[in-house]
Amino acid sequence: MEVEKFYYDNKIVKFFAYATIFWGVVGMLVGLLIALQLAFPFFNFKIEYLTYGRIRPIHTNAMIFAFVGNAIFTGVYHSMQRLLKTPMYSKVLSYIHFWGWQIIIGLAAVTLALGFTVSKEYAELEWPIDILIAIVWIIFGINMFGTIAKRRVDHLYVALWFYIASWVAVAILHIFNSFAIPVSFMKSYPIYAGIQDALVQWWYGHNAVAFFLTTPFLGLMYYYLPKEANRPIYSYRMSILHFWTLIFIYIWSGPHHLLYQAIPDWAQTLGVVFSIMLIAPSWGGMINGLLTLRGAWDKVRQSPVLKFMVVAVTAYGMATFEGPMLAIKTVNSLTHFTDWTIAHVHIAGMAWNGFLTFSMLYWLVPNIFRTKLYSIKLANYHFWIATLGIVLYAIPLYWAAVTQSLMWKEFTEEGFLRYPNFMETVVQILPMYYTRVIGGVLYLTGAVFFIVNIVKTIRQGSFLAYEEASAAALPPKRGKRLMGEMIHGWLERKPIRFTFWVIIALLVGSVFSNIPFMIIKTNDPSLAAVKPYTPLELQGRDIYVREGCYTCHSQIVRPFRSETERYGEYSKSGEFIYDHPFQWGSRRTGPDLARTGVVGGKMYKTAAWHFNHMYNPQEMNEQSIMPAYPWLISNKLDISSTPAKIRAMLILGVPYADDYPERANMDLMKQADSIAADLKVNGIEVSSDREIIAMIAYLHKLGRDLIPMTKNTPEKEIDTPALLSDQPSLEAGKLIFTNNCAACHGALGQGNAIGPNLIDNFWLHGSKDSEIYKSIHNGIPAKGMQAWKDLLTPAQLQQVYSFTVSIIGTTAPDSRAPQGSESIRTKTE
Amino acid sequence: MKLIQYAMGDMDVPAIFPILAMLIFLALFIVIVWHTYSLKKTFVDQMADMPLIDELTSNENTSKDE
Repeated sequence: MEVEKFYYDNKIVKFFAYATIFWGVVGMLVGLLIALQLAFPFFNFKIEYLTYGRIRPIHTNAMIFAFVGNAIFTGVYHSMQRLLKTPMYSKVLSYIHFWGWQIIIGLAAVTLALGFTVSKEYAELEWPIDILIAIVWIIFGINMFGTIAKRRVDHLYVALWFYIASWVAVAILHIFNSFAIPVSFMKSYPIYAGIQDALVQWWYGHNAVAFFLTTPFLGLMYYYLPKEANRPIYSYRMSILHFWTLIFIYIWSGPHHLLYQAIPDWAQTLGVVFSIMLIAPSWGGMINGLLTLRGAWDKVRQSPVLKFMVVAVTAYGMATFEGPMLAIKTVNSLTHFTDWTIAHVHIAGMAWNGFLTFSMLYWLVPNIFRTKLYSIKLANYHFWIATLGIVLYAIPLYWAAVTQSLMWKEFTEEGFLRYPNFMETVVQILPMYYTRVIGGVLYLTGAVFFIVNIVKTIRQGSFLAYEEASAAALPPKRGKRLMGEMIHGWLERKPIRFTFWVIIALLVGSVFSNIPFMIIKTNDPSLAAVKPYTPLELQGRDIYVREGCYTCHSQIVRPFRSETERYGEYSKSGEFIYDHPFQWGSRRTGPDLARTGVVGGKMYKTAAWHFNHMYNPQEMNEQSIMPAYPWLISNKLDISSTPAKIRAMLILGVPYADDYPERANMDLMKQADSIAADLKVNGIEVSSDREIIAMIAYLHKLGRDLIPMTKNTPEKEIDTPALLSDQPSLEAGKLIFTNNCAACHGALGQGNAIGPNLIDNFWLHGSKDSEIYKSIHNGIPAKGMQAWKDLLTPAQLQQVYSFTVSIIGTTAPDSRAPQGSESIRTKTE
Repeated sequence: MKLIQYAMGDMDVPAIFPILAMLIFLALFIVIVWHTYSLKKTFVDQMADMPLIDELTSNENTSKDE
């Protein structure tokens, strides 16, 4: 057979490698900034484009699609040419792919900062960018399959199977999760709502982890680990088993992100079962990787490439054990919505994806620059400092997760929440957030060492843009199964059939876990009480989405006593039928907001409270880590979009009247005026055309439709306890006051922008002992004061009541002006 | 589609999905295990060696400060 000469394109590999490094540093810097924001809210700078809610998605998108994405393409373009003994199918397509991907990343960064987001995690980008992603992905696919078609090697090596599966799965996931109705050039609503949207999103989200962060990297492992160790993969047989079982099982597991949430039990069980089964293929891959080094472990001491690779593969094993454990319902009830999830993804992201990328680049850059690595010593420093960084990042977050979750769930002996104030549980974990920042700084420092090493290596080398190679051409007509050839061996020679079976493996799980929700009514019940959003609430919801509130606040109350005691009635699936997109969230950095609109509920806050809280959260509670949103007060609400939004909702099946788009703004203005009037009564002058008004309207909608479902119990006569005057009781009362009342009434009871002055002789709700006690006991729900009977023990109520009475007549600087009627109390009262 | 919708709408316990899924997986798993371990050793070794023969130069990552 004639030997043909050809040239590998190293230039495109170099381009992707440089992009990997550049976006990696950008993504890590943004990650560091959001870690600082969580520890010190000052770092939000009160600039809307830099607030946590907007730049957290920039961090996740940058790390996943920019850093890891470019790393995948670097490895794929490098290894594929060599495994197939052919240059890429088309240089033009390679460069369209490269520049197209970089443009997408740039657009993502800009649009997310500007607040253009769908709010679906890792799929936040708006529809024009989604279309661009699909086009670039298809171009990549044409180039990849074209290269496979003109190969000079008959069999496809295992790394290529993983590349094929990744391409197919990402295409399916991206397309089906991105279906949306455009409202304007940069605004759309997903076609799915509520539990359907949640299911589809986490089918996507979980499998973005699987087929973007895992399978392509397994392909890279199967190529670069044998190269550096200079020995074949431990078991090719195991790699076949690993591949098929992994891609088959992964796709089913998405519902484990929604345990105890408002999806049917059978779907949760499905997610749990398949998640646990996932340990087997994942560990098969890890063991296959690590055992490749059997008899060659001495090389690990010498080679930084292997050092990074071994930790990466080990971290893959750890993360793929941890993931299934987190999918066990009892474990999940403790860890979900906590920092455990953040630690879990960072073990995988920093160690598996990050270290494998560093490993690959430490191998690849000297290789294409025809030189040696500039300094092994520097690479070793990088290794150790980054490893320490991961440890200091992850361990504090595990600690924070357990601490906070147990605090959320702890009850007193009397049966009350021990930490009714959510802020207490946040303050407790702040030291862990400081440590996390240190871990991030160390990891970034390691990356700086890496860049120095790579730059020096590049400078000392000489780049070989087109590398000469030769191989014999494949004989034509080689399709039939050979005598004695097993099916898989034959399949490895038939890329189209191979891809067909990959699609089947992926579709079985996708169909089983998603289709029932589309066609079985009982899986997606509706509640008659739930009404569509008013135009103002809809606009407010879009602002909530724009600001990324879902990154810190969930909107789903799980059926645990600790949650119903804290937030109110647990969430039902029928509540979310008009939610395009759903807003359940995945982390509770702040409290759940699903019941914020239930007047008299545990989470209800007045319009004035929301106004002041949004304007300056630290004024309400100086320990709050929430960013301020002053622009919501200065920004005028754009109501020109209302008709288009209502029309889009009508297309999605929301039951507005057909002519409602044209008259929606009249209702919007009426509702806005009533909220502005309410604020005015509470001393806040704000125009009714501001964004804050819409945000308040939306927050007051949450859970409100369920009010008719809650029981109205007649008010009982309350026995007013005796006033305590002993010092220990008053001290105890003061402590309760500081923890629970000071946020609204000032540390000395002098009042503030939210709550009235408690130390003067003016009274809004009566000055008698019984009236004061009743105000504390039942709260003033209409004005946002909660009923403390639900959160404090009778003894605590007596203590805080006694303390409150004891401070009447005292003085304090900056006291709020008197409100209500004057009444001088006497001791006998 | 309507037929499926009709049939599934009557299903009292959609829990059949996880069970069916398990059965599908188990069948697939058994077939793959049996098939994989039926592969000839010469073929398997040849395939496993592919990354090592894809170019004449193997790793050259030895540093100057080694």
